[in-house]
Amino acid sequence: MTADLISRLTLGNVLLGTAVLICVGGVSAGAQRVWSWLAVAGLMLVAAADDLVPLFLGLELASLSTCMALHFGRRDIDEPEAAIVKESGAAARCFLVGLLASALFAYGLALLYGSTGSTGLATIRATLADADAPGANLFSLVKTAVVLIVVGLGIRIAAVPLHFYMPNVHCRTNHGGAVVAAVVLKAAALLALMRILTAAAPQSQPDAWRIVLVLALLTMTVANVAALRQDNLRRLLVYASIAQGGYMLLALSTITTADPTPDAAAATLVYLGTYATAMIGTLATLVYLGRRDREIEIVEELAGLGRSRPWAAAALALFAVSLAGIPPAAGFWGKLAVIRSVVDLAQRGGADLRPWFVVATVVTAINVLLAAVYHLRIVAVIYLRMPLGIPKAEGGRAPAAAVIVCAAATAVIGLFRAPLVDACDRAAESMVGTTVQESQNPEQEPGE
Amino acid sequence: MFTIDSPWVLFLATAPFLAVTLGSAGAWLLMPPGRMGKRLAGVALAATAMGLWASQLPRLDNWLDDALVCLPAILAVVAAMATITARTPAYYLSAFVGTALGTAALMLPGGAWLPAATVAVVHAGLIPAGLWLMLRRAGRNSSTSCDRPSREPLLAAVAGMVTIGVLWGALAGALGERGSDHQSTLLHNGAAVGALLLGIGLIGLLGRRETVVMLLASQVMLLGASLSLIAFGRFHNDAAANTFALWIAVAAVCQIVVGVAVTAMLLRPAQRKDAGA
Repeated sequence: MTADLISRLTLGNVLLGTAVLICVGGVSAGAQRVWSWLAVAGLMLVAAADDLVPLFLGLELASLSTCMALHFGRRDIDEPEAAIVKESGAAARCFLVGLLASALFAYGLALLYGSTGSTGLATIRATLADADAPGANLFSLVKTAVVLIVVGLGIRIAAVPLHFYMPNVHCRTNHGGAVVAAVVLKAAALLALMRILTAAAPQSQPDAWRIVLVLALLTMTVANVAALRQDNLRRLLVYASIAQGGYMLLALSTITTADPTPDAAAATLVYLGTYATAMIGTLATLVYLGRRDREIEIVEELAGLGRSRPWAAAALALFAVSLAGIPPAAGFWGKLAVIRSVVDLAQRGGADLRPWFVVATVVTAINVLLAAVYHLRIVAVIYLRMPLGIPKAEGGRAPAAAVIVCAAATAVIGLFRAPLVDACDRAAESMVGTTVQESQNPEQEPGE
Repeated sequence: MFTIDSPWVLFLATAPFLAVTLGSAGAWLLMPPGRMGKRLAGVALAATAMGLWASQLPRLDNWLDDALVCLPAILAVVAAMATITARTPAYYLSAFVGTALGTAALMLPGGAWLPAATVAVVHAGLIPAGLWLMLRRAGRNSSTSCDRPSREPLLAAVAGMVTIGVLWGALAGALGERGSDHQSTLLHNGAAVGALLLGIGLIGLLGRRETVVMLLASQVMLLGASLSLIAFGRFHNDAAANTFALWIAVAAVCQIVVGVAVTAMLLRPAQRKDAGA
């Protein structure tokens, strides 16, 4: 494990880690920054885990650190005295819902362990692929385990029926807390779900992709429609981030089918990378533009930003275009990769896959249009409206550094996507590569 | 259409369905706020449901082994039910100690003494003692005001009991109706109690508004997860389950610490007002 860790300390990974720390830390300040970094540590543990135990621990670290980051970023503090959850702050909500998520997740992991007798993901995958194994009668527990794990992680990803707490959490915390909840925790839960589903689902549960697909379509549609009508910037961004989770779940559902496109796993990672860059950049820009005692709250406050703060306006517009998935920015490559893997299954998938993914293609296309509407509305407000007042821009150097890093990454990846796609290909291969090979080999043998 | 032997009627008369229904009603009646008569009816209904469920489990061949599994199981489940329905800290904390001790005793038969000792020390000792000390310091000894009449307890009771029913169905489907040998019977019993604890904790977490009880209910759910882990590890003769259960206990302690910090539940109302100044 240690040798493996050291061998991964290449120059690229060190630079990437530094960039992540600058970006996530730049949005927050003080104690909140420490907890944001701890949440990133949890995310890294999840990303590197090949066993159920570090997966669980990394997710716990990420979620508990998120609660603390939300706690230090609390805004709405004059609570009534009763200790009623309804009136409590962002951190308490996130924490109590997270308790439910982690308990269901732990029980799902226990069932997954119980059906195979191993905590190693590679062993679980190999055991489940062998239908004549001695304990094969226990394999039927995997279905229950997958449902519990999807629910437990779906709460953290904020997939739509389970997103109920997210908007209020975001409204009661500052932008620094929003970054941790909307990017770091979501990424950790998505990576964990990807790890577990690719290990458990394709061989033994050929239908598990349906639950993920339905969640994905619901998530993006409901969140995009809700985001259309928001004037409050926090609410707009939280629904935008929930919707982006939907596209990533869509990519996950294509990996979970028994016949995945080889680069579908990489598509999830490409999407995650571009989404994280643009979302962190947006929030960092808002922190930079805000005053010391008051952050940017509503869309109107950005009016005329193109004249009063041209550089910040350009960065914000770039991030909005990237989140909408319009070509010159990095987000386009993420959307393209996801939609390509879905269209691929709609064309060449089996008879049971095709109708589902044809529907998914249509719904996704409509959603891309919806998302473009409200993201371009931000761009229009920035450049076409008269300024109402010049933002103070008292954020300081840390958020400015985060904005610069994120904007550079978004612009460069938008023009040269090869480095990101190659890195994601390699990462996906090390995370789920064996699944793709194993599921392809038995098909090739009878053909040969 | 509904003759006496139609599949629908037969399904309604099966023990699992009756157990889910009676259990939901019982748990709902037990949840605060409720008067004494209501709660007594709840106890009767819940006990009937538990009996129905217990009748579905395979028995061990040796009466001593059977008692060694049955008694801690009854202790754990009854105490868990008491944890999520009690209204004063002295009651719910001591009931939680009972749940933890019963769970620890259930972990013992396969020789998983390290996780059992950890559960006994952490869940039956550290967590209740710490919460008790802090509640004393905060000067709060009764907080039923948080639980107001609402539809939530009913929905939570139905959700928790249906979860238990689904999990028991999955277990019975995987292990067979009657356990064939000693090992799989032991597994069936352990995993079934784990599922019960998960469902009961779910009822408490969804149905109660008192923060300390919600924390304890989530710990009951985690205890159910570790108990199932240990039972499966015993069946597979694999030590990784013990490691996993130890780490779950570590995560539980972290959850309690963060929960105390985040929910600010230990501040007096007067302090709470200017907590953000």
